[in-house]
Amino acid sequence: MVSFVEFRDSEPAIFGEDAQKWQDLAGQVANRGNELDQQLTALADWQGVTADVAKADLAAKRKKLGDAAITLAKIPPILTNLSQTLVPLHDQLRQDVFTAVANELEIESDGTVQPTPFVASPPESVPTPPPLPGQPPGSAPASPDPHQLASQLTSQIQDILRTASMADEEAAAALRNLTAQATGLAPAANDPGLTASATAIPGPNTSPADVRKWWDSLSAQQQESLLFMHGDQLGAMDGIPAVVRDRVNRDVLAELESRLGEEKVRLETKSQPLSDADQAQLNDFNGKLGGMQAIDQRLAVQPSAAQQQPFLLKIGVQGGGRAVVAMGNPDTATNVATFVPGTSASLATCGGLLTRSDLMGQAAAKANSPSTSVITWIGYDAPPTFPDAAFDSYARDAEPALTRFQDGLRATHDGPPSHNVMIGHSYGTTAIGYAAHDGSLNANDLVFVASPGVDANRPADLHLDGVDPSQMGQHIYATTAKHDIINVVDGWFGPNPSDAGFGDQVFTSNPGAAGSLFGDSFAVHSQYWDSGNRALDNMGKIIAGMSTN
Amino acid sequence: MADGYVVDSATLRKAGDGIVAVTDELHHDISAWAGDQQGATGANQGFSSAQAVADCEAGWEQALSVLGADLAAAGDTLSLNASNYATTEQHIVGRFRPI
Repeated sequence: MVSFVEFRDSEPAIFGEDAQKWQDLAGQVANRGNELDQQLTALADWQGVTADVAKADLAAKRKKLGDAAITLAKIPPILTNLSQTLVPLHDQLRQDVFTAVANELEIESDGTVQPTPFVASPPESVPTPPPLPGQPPGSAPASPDPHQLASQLTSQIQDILRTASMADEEAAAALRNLTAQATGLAPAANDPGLTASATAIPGPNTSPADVRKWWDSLSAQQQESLLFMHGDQLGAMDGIPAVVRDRVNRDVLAELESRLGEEKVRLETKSQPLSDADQAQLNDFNGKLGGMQAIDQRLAVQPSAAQQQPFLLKIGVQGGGRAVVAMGNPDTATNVATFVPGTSASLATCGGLLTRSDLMGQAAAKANSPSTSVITWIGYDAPPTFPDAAFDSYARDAEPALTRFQDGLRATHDGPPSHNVMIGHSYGTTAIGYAAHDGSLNANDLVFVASPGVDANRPADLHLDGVDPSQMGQHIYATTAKHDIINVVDGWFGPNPSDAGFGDQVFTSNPGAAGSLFGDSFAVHSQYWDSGNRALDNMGKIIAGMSTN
Repeated sequence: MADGYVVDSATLRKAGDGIVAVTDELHHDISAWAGDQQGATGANQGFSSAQAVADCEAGWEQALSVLGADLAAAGDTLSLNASNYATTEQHIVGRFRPI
């Protein structure tokens, strides 16, 4: 039986809200069945032994999908009825609780109401007793006998709890008859789909090359089962082909949006004003949901020369959020660029960063790149503010993920190795620099745009797989606009790679308009991707493997 | 085209890809639903119905996911092997199984 406290603290309307979600799912499953019918119709003329077996198998699965939809549709009415029964009872209970509290009565867990031990109050604080339950509003205040009132409320509250418990048990019994197991629609223990989903997934330290070998060794059944049951793990795993990661990460994105959306609504419906912690969390949710909507919108764009097919390679909400999105397939492109943004880059701000990748892809096409993929890599927690960017901890923390991601691009690329470039902006150059200094990056060229330093005094301090240290100067490109605010912190993480003395390939960018801080400007720091900026043209050339100016 | 076939491999491949696309949408539906289904259990602890809803959720998420995976695998099998059906029909028979 539901206790007084459990019912008092419950939110029975949620059963009604859940009913709608189950109704939606039932409708979606039914629709998928109908869509499946359209595909199966195309096989009607297929004949032969294989055809007979395949069609029988698909028809059985189609029937199971239909049966699932029918069963799922039986769940919402139960939840709706339960909600409709419980909500008015809950309202009545709240009124009784109010009456009890106003009359200094205590309610036990089983609904028994008792007078509280008498405590003398100052005369001015004695509350005016409300009318007895059942009396019309506005009637003269009664002076109820506490024991009589307690008895009356006990009866009412226990009736409420009894009625609520009966409704709860009836609904629970009905729901138990509609589980997948009870209806015979749960997979058998030896179902290939279920057993395949138990296939061991490589650990986090497995190299992307070995992940690729493992993935290629799986049967179609194993691959599909793992995608359905462990999609969140596979979608984030370097070494899994981009097409596969994109498929599953779109589902992860939908799940995260739903989850954050629900948590956001809960915060918004809390009593106002919110605590500072709740408000900060709400702001975080709003930002991340906005970023995910921006990704949704980009994923929905019809591919064109200007906006290539996007591939969602990673999505997450930990820390500032994660978003790795490729414009163009990195596994098939001739030229692949990884764009690492800097300070304030996060899931919340990813919309504009995705646009920059599109622009660089267009610039590369203009420079005659036969096929290009430009990847926005928000795979680390970038410094959230400029003061935070004074610390190198964000760059150090990014090293493993960045290194592994580049290894993954090599592991999943089909055909001859692609020309891989890493383009950092601002603190993103520092993140790349630290990774290339402390280890070695799997890339052909590095591009540093508006860098505060890359933890290197000379090109030979940085390392690219397969590149002789003495040749590193030929594989590093850098630019800083004349009036960029970054000039104020010139040399913060080492010599500016855009200085002629660094020993790399310095390329031109538009100077920008002079600003108010020693002639430098914050706006110029973000103008490298503006139409007409020579930096953008040059980045396109570098991606395409051409010389810059 | 081998004897007994009235459809070509392109049709088979298209159907296979179509089946996988449908299962991707199903997966999308399940993911969005699963991410949104945490209300009743958390807010209504002590209710038998809340636990029953949670049991339904867990069971149906698994059942639909396995069914979707089975369908996707069947679609993959059609697509990947479409061009070989004419010569390897007997080998492929074993890759489909009654449920």
